[in-house]
Amino acid sequence: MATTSTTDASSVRQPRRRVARGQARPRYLAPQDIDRLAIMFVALMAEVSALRDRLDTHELLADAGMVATGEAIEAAVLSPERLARREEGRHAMLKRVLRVVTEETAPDGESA
Amino acid sequence: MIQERHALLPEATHDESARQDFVSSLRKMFTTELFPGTRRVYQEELLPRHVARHGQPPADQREVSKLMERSFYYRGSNVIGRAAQELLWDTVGESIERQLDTLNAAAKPKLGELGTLTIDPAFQVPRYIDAVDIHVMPGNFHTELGEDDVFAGALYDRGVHVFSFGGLGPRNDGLGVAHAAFVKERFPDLKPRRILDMGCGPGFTTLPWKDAYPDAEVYGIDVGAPQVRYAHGRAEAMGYPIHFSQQDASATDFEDGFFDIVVSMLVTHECPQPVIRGLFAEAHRLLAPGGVTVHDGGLVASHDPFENLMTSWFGVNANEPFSAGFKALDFEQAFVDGGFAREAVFRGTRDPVYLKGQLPPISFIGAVKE
Repeated sequence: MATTSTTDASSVRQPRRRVARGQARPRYLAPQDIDRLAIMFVALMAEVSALRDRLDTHELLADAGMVATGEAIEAAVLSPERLARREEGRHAMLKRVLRVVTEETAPDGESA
Repeated sequence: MIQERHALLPEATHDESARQDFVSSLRKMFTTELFPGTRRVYQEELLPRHVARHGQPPADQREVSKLMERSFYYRGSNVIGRAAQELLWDTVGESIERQLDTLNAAAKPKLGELGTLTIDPAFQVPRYIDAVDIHVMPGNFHTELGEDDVFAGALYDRGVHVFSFGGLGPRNDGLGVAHAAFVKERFPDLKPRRILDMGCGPGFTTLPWKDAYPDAEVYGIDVGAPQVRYAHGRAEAMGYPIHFSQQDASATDFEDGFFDIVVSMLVTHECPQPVIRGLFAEAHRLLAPGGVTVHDGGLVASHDPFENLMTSWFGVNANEPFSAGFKALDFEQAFVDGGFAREAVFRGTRDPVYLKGQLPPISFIGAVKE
């Protein structure tokens, strides 16, 4: 059949290699860097949260039949209910992201 | 909660506002869930295990700390709390920096104003202020980014509001209002001519004194020029006649007996012990007979090493290096050394301004000048 040529070609083709040969990847981070990474990760959460709020403002404008221009986003007025809903959303996100911190209360190496 | 708008309050774009809201939510979660959860982890998990193994609870704060360090809950929540603190100033600071020229111009003294602003160009910032950025707020309270700079004042005003997730009120003045109400209740017959707020910062602890005593002249002093510049602009924008000046509260240029009330709020726990003593001695010099000085603090440290670890959180994690000395200070003796009679020292408390039931009461200590 005419459609089999693609299948045939891929069946003989090797998948691309995803690891480069040669020198091993250098070691970059030191154990103490993990604290810095954690702080960077919290800053990234702030960016995700800001993006989420921006999406919510898009929806607010769309509901009003408006176009979400930069100007319209800056001028959007949020109701107390909408602000409260955003706060709930942020709290829910924090609970999901920080679940690992709160799930384990026993000391390391000991089961609860 | 939204901060009350005025000419000096920094604006925020949609995304700046969203980031600040995130920091508030994170701070709220840390304060109301992660941090109190530490107590549960200790009391329900770590303490019983420790007692079962060693036959007794941890002996001191160092032992408690070692025990807690074994828990990922403790380590994980502490790094989140620290991250929130760093993110707070960076997020608010970025927003203020881009509009700083506008804010500086708005704060500049103009003809016909209600109050005054005095900057001391020869002022020497004390080493204990310059050496450590309190609260990990880069630049601390005093760093000037340029001429007529208000950056650190604006940063602290907005930062405190985000930090407390609005809990100190639309004017950030909950603590100042509580402070003034405490003095009015305790000294109903006091008719102050002049009131001094030592370490006034952006002025949110200063203005409530004018509301409490409309007939009194109110003064605010701070080591940070950007604080008093911002405080002046803010007070003018809000319609309050206040006299702000850049001064070290342990050696001011006011005459003896110039004031009837001398206060500080959230200042002494950021000062080394000799400075706290210096503030009390200066308060004694500045007060007229019958005048009162009142400061937050003066709590006797807990005997429970775990509770001491909890109250050391900001000392350990957010650059409050002098808070340990503050906790250990014999306040009564410090007032006596400052010139007050021992029997003139008094203490009191008020409900916390927010998170009632979670935050401890506000504690006050003060003295009356004979």
